[in-house]
Amino acid sequence: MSEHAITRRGFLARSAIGAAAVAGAGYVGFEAWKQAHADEPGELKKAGHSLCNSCSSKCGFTAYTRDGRLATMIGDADHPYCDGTLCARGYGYASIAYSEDRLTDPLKKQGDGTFAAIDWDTAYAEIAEKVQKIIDEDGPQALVMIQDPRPSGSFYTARFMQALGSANTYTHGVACNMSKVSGMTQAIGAGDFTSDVENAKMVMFIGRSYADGIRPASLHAMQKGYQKGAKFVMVDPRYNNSMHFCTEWVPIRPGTDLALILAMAHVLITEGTYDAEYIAANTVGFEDWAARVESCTPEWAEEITGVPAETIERLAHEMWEAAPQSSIEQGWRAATGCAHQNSGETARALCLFNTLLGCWGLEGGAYTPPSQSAGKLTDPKFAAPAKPEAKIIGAAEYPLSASSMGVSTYALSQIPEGAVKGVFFYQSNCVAGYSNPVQLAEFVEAAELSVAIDVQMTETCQACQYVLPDTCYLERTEVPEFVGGKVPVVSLRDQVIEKVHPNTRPVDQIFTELAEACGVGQYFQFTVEELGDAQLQTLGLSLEQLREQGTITFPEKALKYAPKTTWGTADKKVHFTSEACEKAGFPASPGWLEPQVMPGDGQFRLIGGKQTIHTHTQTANIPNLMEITKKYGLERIWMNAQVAEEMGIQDGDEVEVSSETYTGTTRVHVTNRIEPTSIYLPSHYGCSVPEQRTAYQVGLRQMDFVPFHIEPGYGGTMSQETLVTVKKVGA
Amino acid sequence: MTAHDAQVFFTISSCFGPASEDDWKACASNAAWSEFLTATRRLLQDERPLSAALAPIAHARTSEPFGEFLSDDEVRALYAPPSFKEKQAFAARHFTGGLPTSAVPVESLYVKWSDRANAAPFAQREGLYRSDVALYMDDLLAALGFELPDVLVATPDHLAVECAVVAALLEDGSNDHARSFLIERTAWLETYRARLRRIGDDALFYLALVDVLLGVRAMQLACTSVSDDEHAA
Repeated sequence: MSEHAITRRGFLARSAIGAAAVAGAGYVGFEAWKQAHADEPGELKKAGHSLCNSCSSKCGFTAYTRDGRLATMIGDADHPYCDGTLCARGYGYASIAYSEDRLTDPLKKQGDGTFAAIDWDTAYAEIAEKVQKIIDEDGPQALVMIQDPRPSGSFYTARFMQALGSANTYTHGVACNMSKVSGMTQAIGAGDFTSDVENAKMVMFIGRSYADGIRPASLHAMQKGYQKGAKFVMVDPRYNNSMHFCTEWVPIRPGTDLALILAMAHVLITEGTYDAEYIAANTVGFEDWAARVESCTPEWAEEITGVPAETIERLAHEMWEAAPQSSIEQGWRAATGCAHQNSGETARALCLFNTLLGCWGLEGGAYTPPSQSAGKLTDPKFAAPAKPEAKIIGAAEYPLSASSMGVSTYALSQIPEGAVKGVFFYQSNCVAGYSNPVQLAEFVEAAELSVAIDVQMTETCQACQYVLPDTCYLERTEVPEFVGGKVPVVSLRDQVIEKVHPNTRPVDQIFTELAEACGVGQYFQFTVEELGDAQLQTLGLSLEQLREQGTITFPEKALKYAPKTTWGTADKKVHFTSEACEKAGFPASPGWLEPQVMPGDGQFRLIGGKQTIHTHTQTANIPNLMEITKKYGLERIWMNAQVAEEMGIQDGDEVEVSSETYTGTTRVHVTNRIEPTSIYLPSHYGCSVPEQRTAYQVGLRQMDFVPFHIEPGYGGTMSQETLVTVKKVGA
Repeated sequence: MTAHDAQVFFTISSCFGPASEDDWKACASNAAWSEFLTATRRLLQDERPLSAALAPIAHARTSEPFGEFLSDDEVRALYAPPSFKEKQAFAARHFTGGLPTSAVPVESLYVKWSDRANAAPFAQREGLYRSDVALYMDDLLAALGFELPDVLVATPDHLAVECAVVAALLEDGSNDHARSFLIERTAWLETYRARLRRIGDDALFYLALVDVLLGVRAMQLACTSVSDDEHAA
């Protein structure tokens, strides 16, 4: 060999066994290896329990591996959201672990706008330096964290921000269920309730489809209720996939659900068919609401909603006849969640209508699910940082918004104003999904510091200066997750496969190390396993037990049907009137509030909504799921058949869709399954990140058409307050 | 021949894989690089199995220029190996995952994930890490008694590892195995080549190396008279 040649094997080291091996001994060619494994496939091993990450529900499952790779997943029977079944997106999303598009190293944006890998120590040091500068010059309130809640993410992000002295930890709420939680809190002092669908005689769903935004347990309950003869009414501009279990579709003009509820309340109150006894004992302000809905006749509502007056009247009668085994289901992201200027008030009215039915806490009615939480940790190493004195940015401007979620979009809008200088994102594609993407990207790009932590490049990552690679959910152990339900549980996302990329790090490690770099490491002197075990020990459990079982139930806390007489409001009563709402400029009790925009001639309201196989923009880059999209043309917009005929548009035509903010082209699905004033655009598509090779440029993105605006008082993103025109391409 | 042939694969392994600054400087020094180029050219040109001695008469054959095997741009790039800093900068942009310009040299990403029974629902997909090839490489490395550094342990089907294995087999005198392994484990480079080409001129050096490997593979296939289909992974 030449004197210049590399005389060593580089990185390839001989093990002790190898050093003694005979040259070439042990060599097997690939085909022979494959044949040997075909004859003797690796053993299917139970790798442990985890929680799905394909949506926010986090269904529990048991993972099985073969040769260290994920082989299959079986839903855990005790988990209250999955009830033993995972959905299609859950199975499909698991491939993210092995995806080519995974981020593998910390990245820093270069001068030309592209990214290049850097090492972790450099990333931490640079980020910490900027954090310190911001705190020194503007105080910790100039820092903002936005995260889509996951067990460890929720704990570590909030603790990190609190350690720095900032109150500004936000969730994805503005683009999800913020207005629902906030509106309901004003009425019943709780942000959630559950319709007892399985045992009900009648449930009205308003803009919520269990079969599309799936929690398998909810769908199971719907199926059981349907089989027992329950009447399920779907109030939705679209004939959605839950119609399989519904007895009636009420195609309503989007944004007018509040009028429908007020009119049904009018019917019950004027006819005296409501639970006066319950109301007298457990509520305040009924007279105010009764007076307010006096003018809200079914005929009045017909003009607004497009639902015939006799249908409204009949539905009100049927709801009362079925009471107390009836309720309006709470909704989630659409009518009550974040879609309209009146979403918060719709949520409030919805709770009050259910109160008329006297259904609270009764079998077949609606209940607030019992829950269990960990006790206080006494070991000093878990002591929390002092709570910042300041309030979360946006609380004053949107006084009805739930502080547990916060108005993240408003916080970002304060970057150009100079009030916010640094922003962190954890597993949040805020830029693509929370409001107008161009505007949000501009906000983020103007920050002095912007950091995103995720598993793949997103629009949000793209807008940031630093991108830190997270492990995927199958590769990490997280803080125990407490979940309410008829029987509350605690469950665990445990590591079930080895890290595919050695240079990725789990969220607990990232924030622990980042805290150390920022000088607040004293609040993170424990591992996630120690934390989880300590939390469980307060309940007489252990991490070892939870690892073994995956989900542990608390039967002693199980729901017991009984009229609910104590509420989470200050005086423990249901509030037909709210001083806070009045202060925020709303009527004391909810009355009619028009949507911000209404379609005129040639205009449509653009509505969104989940499809069975996708979760917002998160799953669009999964090849198996996108293949289904393409096979069935699921990225197409929906247009009412009669309207399409009048416009000379046929199924499959290429059309141009325009709003005040964006114009794009796509194909159209002409159908009778949508009411005439709406155009439906599934909210999963239009990815603008070339790094997501599968999702890139498939379909249109709903939020591109939505201007940057915020629901007054409540803080929702008003995702459906946008008008579009549609024309056939080439016409 | 064995030493020279092995050196080619060790050097290519160092180009695609991790190397300290000192190691890279030694590898890319004028003298070492010149020897690498000479050995590489012989490997492309000589009609012989890996590490086999050339028939005496064949020594009389004139050395063919690289231009017979590579484009002019590739030849120029091959004659000017990157500095350590340039090598690091390229890796930071292209050998990291998740970017539009990523060209991670891991075989799994360019082949079907698995055709084994009872595999995951996405088993028939391409573009996924830890394919059957990775499992095979895990087993093979263990059987041959090799250990990988942490940075490569999850990607045993990294091109750098595959080249290092060829070199190690040659050094061990397992020439037939080296040849067989090379032919099996470089079929994916046709697809990878297309990925590198999308990067443009910045990737010419690495494109040239890939073309070298494909050229050597073609020669080895010809020498062993085994069809490409039989060896397709």
